[in-house]
Amino acid sequence: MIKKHKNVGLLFFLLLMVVIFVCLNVSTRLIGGNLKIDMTQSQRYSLSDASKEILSSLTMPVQIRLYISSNLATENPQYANYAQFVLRYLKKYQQAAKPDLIKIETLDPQPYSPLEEEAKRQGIKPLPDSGGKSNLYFGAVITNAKGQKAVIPNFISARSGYLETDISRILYKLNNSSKPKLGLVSPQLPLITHAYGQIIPNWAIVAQLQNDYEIIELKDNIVQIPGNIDVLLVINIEKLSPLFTYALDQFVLRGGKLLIITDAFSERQASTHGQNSAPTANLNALLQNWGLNVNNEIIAGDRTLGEITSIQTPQGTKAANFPYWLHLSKSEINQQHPATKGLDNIVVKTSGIISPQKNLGQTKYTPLLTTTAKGGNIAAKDLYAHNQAELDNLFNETSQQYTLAAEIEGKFPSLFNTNILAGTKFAKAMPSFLSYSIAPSKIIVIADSDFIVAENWADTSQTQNNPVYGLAPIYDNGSFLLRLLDYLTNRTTILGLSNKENFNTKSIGEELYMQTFNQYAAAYNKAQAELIQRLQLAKNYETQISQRLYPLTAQRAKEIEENNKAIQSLQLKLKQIEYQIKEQNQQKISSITQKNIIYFPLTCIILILLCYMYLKSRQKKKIEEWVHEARTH
Amino acid sequence: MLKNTLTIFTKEFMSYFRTPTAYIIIAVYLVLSMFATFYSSNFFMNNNIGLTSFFTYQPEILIILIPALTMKLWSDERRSGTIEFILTQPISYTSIILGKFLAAFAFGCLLLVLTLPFDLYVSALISLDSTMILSAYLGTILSIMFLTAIGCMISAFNTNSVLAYLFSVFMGWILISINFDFLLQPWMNLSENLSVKLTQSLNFYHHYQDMIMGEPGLDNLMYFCTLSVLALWINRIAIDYKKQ
Repeated sequence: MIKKHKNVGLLFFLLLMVVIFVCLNVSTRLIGGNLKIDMTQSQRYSLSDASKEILSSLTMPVQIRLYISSNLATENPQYANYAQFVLRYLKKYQQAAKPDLIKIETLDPQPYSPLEEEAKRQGIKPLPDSGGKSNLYFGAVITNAKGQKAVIPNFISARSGYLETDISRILYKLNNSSKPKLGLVSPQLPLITHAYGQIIPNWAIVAQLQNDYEIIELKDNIVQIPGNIDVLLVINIEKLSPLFTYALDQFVLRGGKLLIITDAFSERQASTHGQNSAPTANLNALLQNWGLNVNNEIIAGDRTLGEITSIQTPQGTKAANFPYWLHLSKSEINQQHPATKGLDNIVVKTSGIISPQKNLGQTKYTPLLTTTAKGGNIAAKDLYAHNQAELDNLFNETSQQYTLAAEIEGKFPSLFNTNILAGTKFAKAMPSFLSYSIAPSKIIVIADSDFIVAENWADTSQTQNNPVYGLAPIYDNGSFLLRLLDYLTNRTTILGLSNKENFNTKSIGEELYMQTFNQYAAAYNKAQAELIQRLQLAKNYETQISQRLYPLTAQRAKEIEENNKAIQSLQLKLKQIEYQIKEQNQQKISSITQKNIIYFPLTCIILILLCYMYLKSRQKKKIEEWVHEARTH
Repeated sequence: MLKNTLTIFTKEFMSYFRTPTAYIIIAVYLVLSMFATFYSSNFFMNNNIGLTSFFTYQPEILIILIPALTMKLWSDERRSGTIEFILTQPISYTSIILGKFLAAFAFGCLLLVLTLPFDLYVSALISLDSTMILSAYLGTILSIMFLTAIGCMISAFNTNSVLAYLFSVFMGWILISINFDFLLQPWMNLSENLSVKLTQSLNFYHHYQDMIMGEPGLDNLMYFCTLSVLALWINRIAIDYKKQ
């Protein structure tokens, strides 16, 4: 009887302990569930102060409707980890915001369900499943109480480093209903494509700008910049007309914010317009009045920052450091300036040189991008006349540091004595003439326009359906432009947002492949360059024959045949190299696997056995000594 | 008490190496871990800056191996009758329980230490996130602690070590698999409902995932520690009860 009572008592005690265990854990989760330590080196899970500030300034509730297919992870494994990461991150926003301010709703759109229809209607784009059918969803619609919404059609892991920036920017945008107005003057590089009857996408950077700004296109011959423009972006104007000079002068004197992108040699413009490409207008008349000088006659270079590229030489193709395509790192980007702080890789191609005027007066000059102190240069006109190998040889190392982008701020005098349209009927409709600044202004000048070409700094392959959130940046060029505009429009909260390391950097397999490829890179690039030449030659022959420019003689037929044979042999060579790389990589992978599955455990066991045998023999020796000692005593 | 605990710990820990069991366990652990890393977790396909491929299957591997370390701790003593001798010594029960537990726990940690050369090897291939790996190791150590405590507890109830092993594996599997998420709607675990918090606080994988993803927290630590303390407490009750 006593034993039975004891058993019941014990059972009751055990149950009580289990209840205490459950209560302790649940209460810790409830009270201290948010007490987490972010132990990742890149602080992957931590919201920046800027994001927290945006969250604390939220004035109305925001609803995040996350469309995520429940079979996303199984059907498309590359999204498995990233989906979890996004869920975790959204939760961080919810936790950091005031209670009930951010509501997250997760929805699972099944194929052919009303929810799938809704997802599509909202702008969520389907992803392919393992069978190739597009019926997986992984996107979000973020809506505020006023019904204004922002859509992320797909989350792509290649943009994971921008996840915080993207969500925080959306929340900021929804909280500040009106977008700042951006005046855009870009006559030679039409960023926004106007084509009737056919869809031609805008430049990728425009999608990024349109997301945050209301873009107002302006001509380069206007006499007055509209008063509602918050920031004016001027890109590569061909001629600086007196009227437009006056418009810019008065805009700046009224405290207008100006971002000028000029270029000594615009590669994009040259590839678009070919021989007819006009050089950028000399803006120095205006810029010198503000305290800056842009030298577009000379191109800045730097061997220490040059891009490694394959260059055609008379001896063949060689990998060389091309000193005019610069990869700027943290030390060449001003880390003190709010707009460039935290940026650590920007690519500029054939940039001009900026220098301050000697007498700056009350203005403040700040370099933003520079070369190292081992800079050099080349005359801009040489770029039109020489090939890459010759340009490489013509590089003149001056051991000087050149500025590629700079800011000047303060108050300025006018370049004009009076309103240039004074006495005409237009003058009446214009604001009064200012001879001196009535408010301080900020002007930023960048001496390269190729830095905005997205193909130079991002993977644009997924931008067709997802122009903003499908762009996967590799360099910080896009952030640089956006942050400059944020700085000029005084959006200081957003400026605090910085990009993080991408969630999916290279896999070990890719890394190994690249290591193997580098061993064959020279031979592969050489064969590829030669093949391109041969194909071009074949195309020329074809054109000549089809247009009957030359008669098809026996000699020519032989040349064509030889060229075709060379093409075939080069294609074969490339395939052989690819096969060799693949084979070698496979061997490497097998060797790593073998080493770790067989040799590594075996070595560990042998080492432990040896240690144990050593210890045992020592112990045995000691015992023998004791026995011996005992016997002798 | 500390001295007694240390004496028992040394005796138990060294006893592992007197039989081939320790070497077999080490070999099986390393082979299984590497096999799971390279074949089941797509080591070459994934971004492994935190060695996620290695840590993903650690709980499953440890469920099989840790009970092999703990199965004899009490059952052998009881089967051979030496438990009476131990319990009549002037040593507190807590010292004996802790000594035995720490010996098995230390052996479990030794298994993990043996994988450090693998980390060094991978760090030569790619740059690793050392603090994230530290967090994952901490998570695995806590898992070893909790599985060892469970193993000790089961062993205290059994005289047959094979049964103790099987029960320990089963119990570990049950505790690791407890997941009430199926009661909720899919993906609802994102919300901050009380029901969600309740299920998450008792879900082993939720806690383990937090740690291997590099974001440990108070709730994770509490889960592993309370579960281990509870198991050791029951272990003590079992010894007490059997003695009476």
